[in-house]
Amino acid sequence: MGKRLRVAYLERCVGCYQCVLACARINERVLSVDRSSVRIRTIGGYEGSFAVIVCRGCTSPPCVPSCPVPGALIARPQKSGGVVVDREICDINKCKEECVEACPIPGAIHIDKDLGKAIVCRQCSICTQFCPTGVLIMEEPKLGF
Amino acid sequence: MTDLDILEIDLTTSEIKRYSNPELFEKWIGGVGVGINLLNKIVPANADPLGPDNALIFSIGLLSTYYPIISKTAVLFRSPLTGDLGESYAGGRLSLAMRFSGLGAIIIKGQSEKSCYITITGDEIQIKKSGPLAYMYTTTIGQILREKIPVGSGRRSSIRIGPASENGVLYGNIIVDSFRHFGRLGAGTVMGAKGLKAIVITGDKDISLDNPPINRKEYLKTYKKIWNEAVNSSTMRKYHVLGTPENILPLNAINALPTKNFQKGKFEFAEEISGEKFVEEYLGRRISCNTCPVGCIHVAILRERYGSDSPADIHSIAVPYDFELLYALGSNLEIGNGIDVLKLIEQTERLGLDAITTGGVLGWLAEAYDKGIITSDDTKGHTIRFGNVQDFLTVIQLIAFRNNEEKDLFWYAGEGIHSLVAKYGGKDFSVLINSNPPAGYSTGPLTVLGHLIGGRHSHLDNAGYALDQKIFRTKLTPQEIIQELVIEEEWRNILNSLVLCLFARKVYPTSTILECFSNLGIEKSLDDLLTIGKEIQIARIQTKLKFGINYRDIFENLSPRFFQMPTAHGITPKNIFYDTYFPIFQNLITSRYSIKI
Repeated sequence: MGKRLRVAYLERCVGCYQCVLACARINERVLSVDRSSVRIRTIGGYEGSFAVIVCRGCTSPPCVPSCPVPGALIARPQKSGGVVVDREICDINKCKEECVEACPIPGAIHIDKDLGKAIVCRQCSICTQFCPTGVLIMEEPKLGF
Repeated sequence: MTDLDILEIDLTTSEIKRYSNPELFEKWIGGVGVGINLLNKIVPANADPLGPDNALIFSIGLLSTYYPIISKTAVLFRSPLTGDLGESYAGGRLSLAMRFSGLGAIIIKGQSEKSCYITITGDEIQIKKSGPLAYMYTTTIGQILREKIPVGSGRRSSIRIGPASENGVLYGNIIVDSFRHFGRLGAGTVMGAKGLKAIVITGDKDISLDNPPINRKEYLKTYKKIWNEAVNSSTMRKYHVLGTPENILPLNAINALPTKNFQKGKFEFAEEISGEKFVEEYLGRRISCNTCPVGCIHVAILRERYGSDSPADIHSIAVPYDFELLYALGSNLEIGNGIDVLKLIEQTERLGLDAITTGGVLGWLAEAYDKGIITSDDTKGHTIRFGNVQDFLTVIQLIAFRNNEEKDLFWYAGEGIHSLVAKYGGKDFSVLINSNPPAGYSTGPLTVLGHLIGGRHSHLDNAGYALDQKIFRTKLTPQEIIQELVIEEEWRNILNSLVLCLFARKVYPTSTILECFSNLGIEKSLDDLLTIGKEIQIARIQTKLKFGINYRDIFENLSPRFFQMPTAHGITPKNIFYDTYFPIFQNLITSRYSIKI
């Protein structure tokens, strides 16, 4: 079946950005917050609460049919869900960022203006390996989305 | 790696310059190394700490953001509290925001006629009028600035001062994001004197790991090794769980927890303000600084009643707590209730006051009031009693909003204990080293000695308190003691140039630091590091001498309280510092650094 990423224990998040930086460092070969597929937001600053912004790995991802560029965004073949961006094909000059609009989670798929490409989690699990408190886990889908 | 620019902002002329100086960072790494060199170049010997000639120099290091827990930013300045070298460190997101802005150092010079704030958004830098933001609480302005500059969440940092600094209290701090501080020696007051209320930095530059090429495989390996050590080793466990307040009970057990203005080393209600009690009763959450997986920042939730009309007249506030705050505003004031300590912390946080110095000043005031040295005529009818939180809350408010025309007791309190002593007497119980109240470790003579000889007279300079523990097990001669403290301080100059959080110093042994440099293609040997640490120390001492600091006076003028207060080693022999340690220190400084003090 395969596994997908789940924000399982948000209450454990200490806002350390290890997941964010690990994704960018290893997948994108940059030190960056924006080029990461997983991002942490503080709502109301550190006095408020944390939110993890990341693709939830839909099995029927609404972003895929919204994309007007054939082959740029495809559903992963695994039954566990998720999407893959083909960086060779994806081009924000050929679209109106429909994928961003289609996703119900603001920012889970986002556009990197420098690259001109969509950035989205590829379910690689790197972030889970750097989360010190176990907020993020990989698991077989239990919920029907 | 060395593509770190320097940003220089003159608030008198509004001139903004951005330039690079890779040699400076290559040689001095960053942090205190870069900062001390810039300070020496920019701030003249006769600079008024509150005048336009003083500067605030914020700096990060070559490895900042590349590796875990290299998360701090240094600020150097001339201290308005002591007239000496001012040096302070803070975490939060500032170093990450500077790195993603491509800035290794930010220099603030001059003086704005009207209150202003600075925004650095990528390459766009603006100086803006504060208007109603002036005199605003640090907490309120933090919220407003986040709304005002909504871009760059996650790579944005805001630093600001509170009304205490704007009113010229000499120990105002700078709040970094939420809950972190450039706490000591009045960095906030310098910022206030410059008319600068806040700086918001938003980084917009990604840093490629391919260009220039690095040894990526080894880099990732070293990163993971450090991460593992930080998260899984016993070394860091205390910071995950109880945080620094873990120290309260062990120090109390060995008679080393400063209590009642250092009159005692044991606090009857230590358990009530212990790390254990706070985790159980008050802890609301833990958070981390950028790039740090440890999460040592402990934040309590303080529920406060604001009225009596309804039982629901309650609001709650997030309040950070650490060991030093619990000592300074807890045991040292005989406040034996966690909620009361949190109220005092929250008030210093909101008004932008250094908590350690505030605790020291309040301790002196309470003892002076107790002894009748100051009377209700001086206090305008207010009582200042140990153990009474309401008294202290009132006094903190009066200090922060002191009357600069009248120059009453609270005005002098805002100038520091040495000014109170000059006006009212009471030197016998003034707990000061070079006009600065010390950290909360009455572990024995060596913590005092460490403060005395340290570049910024801080327990963090050389960890004298740790040497106090060591001499329980290993006998050391006075020469060996001084030698150990001096060598430790030189090494810490490296850590403070990186700028590594000192809590993680054991996670970064020498071999790991060398590996970190090598992975990024920066060649440094152990000898290089040791030389830099020594040269930074020479520069720090020369800066102190340039500002007119006299070590002999600092040793000689120690308050008698240091020879009366109980410690883990009992009572410290009278004059041991001046008679025994000073000549050895003086000789070592001459032989090691070729400097006469």
